[in-house]
This record gives sequence, structure tokens and C-alpha cells, in this order.
Amino acid sequence: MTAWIDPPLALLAELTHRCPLRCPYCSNPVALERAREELTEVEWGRVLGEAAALGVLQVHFSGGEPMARRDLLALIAAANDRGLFSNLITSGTLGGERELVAFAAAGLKHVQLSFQDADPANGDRIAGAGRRACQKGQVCLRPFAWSVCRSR
Amino acid sequence: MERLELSSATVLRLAPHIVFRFDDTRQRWIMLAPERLMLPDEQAVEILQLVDGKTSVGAIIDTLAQRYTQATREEIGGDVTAMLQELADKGCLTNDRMD
Repeated sequence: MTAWIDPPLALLAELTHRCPLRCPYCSNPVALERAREELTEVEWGRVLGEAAALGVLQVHFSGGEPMARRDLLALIAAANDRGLFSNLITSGTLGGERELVAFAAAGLKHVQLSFQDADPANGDRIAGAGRRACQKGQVCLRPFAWSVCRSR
Repeated sequence: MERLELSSATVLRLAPHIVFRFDDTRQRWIMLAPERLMLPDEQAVEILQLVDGKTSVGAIIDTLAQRYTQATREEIGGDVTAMLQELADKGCLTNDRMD
């Protein structure tokens, strides 16, 4: 009898554990992997290639806060080159419109923006005082209203 | 957002967050959307391959009617329009121009 396992559909890529927020519910410790212990851009390029070869179709760039990685644009382009459908999971607190326009041009297809609360003061209370997580996220996604997925 | 109601003059393309391609691993055409994998059947693949941002719905139906003479153009047109309308309603297809 031959056992057959369907190829994997998605890769959740925790690019970093660095994050400007301190949400108490987060599943990641504040500093699980230090920045110098993270995989390099070249190593992630290899992982993305191996994932695509295994049959992975979608890659979710997560963290930590993936926008803390300076090479995120290159990683999005690398994923796109390998036919991977890329998704950015972010709090929207780092970077903004300029970065997102570049990401979209590099092939980013989907953004998942996390909100701690619809009320800014409470959002800051959850994410850590003075983080302004709620407002910043709204501002940086404004030019992308067309790509908001309405099926969820 | 207003609903896009297809007519034979509508020119469709894939929405920017949709990918339609052949997958070597699974040896079949696939459609990728946010957190979703769609597996179009053979007929849907043939229709989607004609969606290129230039060809109108009417011209797509003409092409398929020439290819499959066992059904009338009207029958083919009904099926094709229904499928494309469903995908447009889900936001997978659009008549917007690329930015």
C-alpha cells in the first residue's frame, strides 16, 4: 500500500520576532529569536524555493512584525518569482503608503491588518501605551481600499 | 461597491488579488485568492484562459461557440455568462483598468 500525503498549501513565515507592540495575548514571546539569529534574506530565498517545489501555493509573511525586516520587499519579490501568492500580516505600525505601493509592485497580493480595538485609546491600551496602532494602520492601508477582501 | 452586471460588451480581467495559473505539483490549473484555493474544472479553465483584459464577454462566447459546435451559441453563452458573473460577484474578476 502506498501512503499519499497531499502537498502543503501554505507556508507561515515568521520572519522575525521583533515587534513594536506589546499585546499581552500574542502567541510569540517578546524576543524568542534575536535579530542576529533570524534567517538571512538568502536563507529565506532558499526556503521559499523549497516550499514552492513542495507544492506550497501561498506564503504568509508574519512575525513578530514582518515590516521590521529591511529585506521584506526582496522577500516578497522572491516569493512572487517562485509563483507563491503572498500575504502580509501586519499591525501597520511600521512604514506606510510608500512601502505598500512598492510591495504591491513586487507582487504582494493580500494584506491582513490587525486591529486591537476600534477605539484608539483602548487599542493603545492593549498594544502598549502610546503605540497608536489603530490610527497608523488605517492611514497606511487607505490607498489599498480596492484590494480589501470582502469575503471575510 | 456597485455590482458589475455583465453584458456581451463587458471586458473582464482578473482582479489584482487573484492568480490563475498552472500548478506543476498538482498538474492542474488553479485559482488563488486571499486564503483560498479554487480548483476550476476543465470548462471553467477554458473560459478563464480567454479572460485577458482585452476580449469582451461576447467575443469569448463566439470563440467557444466555434470550438464546440454540439451546443448552440445561446446555450454556451448562458453558461459562460453565468460562470463569469459568479466570479465577478465574488470579486475575482473586474472590468476596472489596471492602475
